[in-house]
Formats: sequence, C-alpha cells, structure tokens
Amino acid sequence: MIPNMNNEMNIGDDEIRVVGTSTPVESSSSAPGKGPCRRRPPRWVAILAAILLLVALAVILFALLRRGGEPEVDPNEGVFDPGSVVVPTFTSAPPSVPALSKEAFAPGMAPFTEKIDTLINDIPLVVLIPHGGVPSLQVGPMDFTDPSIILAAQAADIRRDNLHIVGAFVLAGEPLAWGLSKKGYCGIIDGKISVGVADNSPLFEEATEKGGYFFRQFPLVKDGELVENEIKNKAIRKALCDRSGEIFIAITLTAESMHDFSQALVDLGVDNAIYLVGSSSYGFYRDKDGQLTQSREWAASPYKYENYILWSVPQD
Amino acid sequence: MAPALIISKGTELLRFLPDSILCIAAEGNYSIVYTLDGEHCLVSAQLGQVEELLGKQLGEGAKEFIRMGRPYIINTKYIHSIDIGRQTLVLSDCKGGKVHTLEPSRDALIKLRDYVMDHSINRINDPQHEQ
Repeated sequence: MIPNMNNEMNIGDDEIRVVGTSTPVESSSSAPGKGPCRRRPPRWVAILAAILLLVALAVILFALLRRGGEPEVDPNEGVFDPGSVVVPTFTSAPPSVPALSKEAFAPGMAPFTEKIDTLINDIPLVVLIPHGGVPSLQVGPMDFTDPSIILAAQAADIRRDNLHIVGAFVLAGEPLAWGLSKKGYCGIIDGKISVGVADNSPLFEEATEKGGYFFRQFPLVKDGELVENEIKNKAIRKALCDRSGEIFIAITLTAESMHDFSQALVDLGVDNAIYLVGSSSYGFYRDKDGQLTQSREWAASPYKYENYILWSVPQD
Repeated sequence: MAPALIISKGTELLRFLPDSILCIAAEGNYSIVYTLDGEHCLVSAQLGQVEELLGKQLGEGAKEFIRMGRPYIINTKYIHSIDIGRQTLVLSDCKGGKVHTLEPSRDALIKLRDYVMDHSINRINDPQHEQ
C-alpha cells in the first residue's frame, strides 16, 4: 500500500536527508573533528574581496614608500625639537596646592630667581620662579654676563629648513614669524605673561599693537589637563608654566618623554604650560645672592634667530 | 524473508532488494526505480511516497538511502564519484554493472560529499558500524 503522504515538497533541491529520518543532513567539513562548514560564497564575492585586498595593500605600500622616501621638511619642524601633531587628551583635575614659592618678595628688593627642587612621579624637577623681573623676549645671542637678567631660557624653536623661528613670534611689537601649527602660546603684554593653548590668540595682535611679545610652542597643559604630543623620544624637558598665576620655568633633570613631563606638570598643579626648547638648550638664572647658574657652558649659537624668554631687572 | 522495497502496481507487486536499487528518480507523479542490472521500473507513486515506504519497510536498512533534493533517492552503497565542478553524481557498483549519472544541485552534492566523508571516517573508527 502506498502512503498518501506527499513528502516530495518537504525537501529543497539543495537538501539531502537519510531516508527514514526527517532531519536534513547538514554539510560538514571534510576534515574530521570540525563543525559544519558554511555555505561557500559566490565566486564573484571572493574575486571582489581579493581585488579590495590588493587595492588596500597597494595603498598601504604607497603610504609606506612615501614615508620612507625623500624626507619633506615640515615648515614647523624645529632645530631643537621635531614637529608634532597635537592631540588633546584628558587627565585628572589638578589638585589644589599652595604656591610653590617659599621666598618672600617685597617691593624694593632686588629681583632674583628662586630655585626649587622637587620630585613629581619620580621625575626630578627644577622649578625656577622669577621674582621681581620683567619678562620679555630676545632674538640673538644671550649675554649671560648681563647682571640685570635674572632668568633666561630658549623660547621658540627654529625651523630646520630656513632657520627662521617656528610659529608666530612678536618681538617688541614687531612680528617676525606667523606660523600657527603649534597651539601653545605665550604673550607678554605690558609686562604680564599669559600662557595658554589656542589656535588663534588675540594676544598676537595685541602684542603687535602694544609693543609686546608673543611666541608659540608645543602645548603641554591646558586648563589643568594634559595635552598629548606625538614626540615620543626622551630628552631634558623645559616648560613655561602658569600655576594659579604663578609663572615659572620647570626643567627636568632626567630625560623624559613629553607625556611624562606633561603629566608631572599636571600633578604639580600647573594650569597651563607650554614647552620651551629643551635638550641642550641654553639658559641661566641668578639667585637671591646674584649667583649665576647656567644650564650649560655658553657657546656662540650658529642660529641667527635663536631666541629667549628672559626676566630682567626693571629699568627705572 | 530479507527486507525489501515492496510497491504494489495495479495488479502487480514489485519487490526490490535494497542492494539492487541504484537510485529512484521522480517523474512527475510517478517514480522510476533504477536497478543495478540496468533496468528501470516506473511506479505510480510520488518520490516522497517511495521514500516513506523505504523507511517503513527497510527499517535501519533504509539509512543506506539518501534523498537528494526533490528529484532523487540514491543508494549510498553505489556512489562512485561526486564531481562538484561538473555537478554530477555517478552511481555504479564498479563491477561492470549499470553506471548511472545524475545531476543534483551543487549544494546537495557538497552535502553528500561531506556526508560520505564523515560516514566513511565513522566506519573506519568504528568497524562494528559496518553492516
């Protein structure tokens, strides 16, 4: 007797099943121990994927060859510090700490630089706080014998290609450079220093109008938050810092990465900081006793536009 | 009496020993049973009905047969070649008997190939599975 059931339509043309069972046989890998194999994609999908892969490889290869080819000089790449791309990042809020200075400065006292040694995150730092000096910028060789200068440090870097100043620079109201890639800035208007991080700062125009000073550098700390830079090597680092209105220069005694340096400044409670030419750059300070301390022995610089931020005794 | 596929055909009764069946193909509302001796026999039953008869009448022996999509039931004992590229399945006892070539779907062939491979491995690992 032939059953009336018609199972013919209960199986697809792509299916197979063992007679006497109702469960279709699933395709499995030919290798033992492996699970069911997936349906093979159409051949054109494989060809398309191969083409896309080749294109991607070509693009990557092209990019690598370009990087490895003739080096292009970044107009903002400096002699002392290489250029970098600034990537803002985040860190904890700066702790509220009392002023770093331990010295009292009263009107009538001779200006001097206070030196503080501290250790932040195992990084030995020297903090140089100018007392009573008037800040300004200088382009050209530094006269370390000038007793009126109580603190000096190299400020903006110099372009490696044309040996001009990296970034915008205003010297006593005269703009000498207009570069913008470095987001950190220092403006000195009417003897008052402003340190910050911004694409455009009105201080540049104000400096030109009021006979002030302005330069740009890598930003390190902005509003108490670490600013990441792509410079990964380690070197002696220097920074111009603003900590609750207290302006000072911080210098590492050991070679540090920009990140660790910035983090140390953040942990020191710095609100805003920009980099100063580090490594073997020249600088000096005079303490309360007039004692001169140089970062290294002075030597004539081959760079015409080597520039400094300095604090000097006010002229009467 | 040895288990066999028995199909009544009008006043006739057809009896096929499992090992004599090469494959069964659908032919509209009928089915054609191809046997190893090169003969074929049209039966007035749809392939699904034949499949069910196989399951009921052969019991465990029915598991030698595989339904391949809508058009075929094959005897796995006589699978001689599975060519995915040419999309052909050749059934033969390789003893000079009838060679029958089928053209199932590609996916069905792939599943059959995998099934045969797994089934062979199982038998190698478990000789008692061999009947």
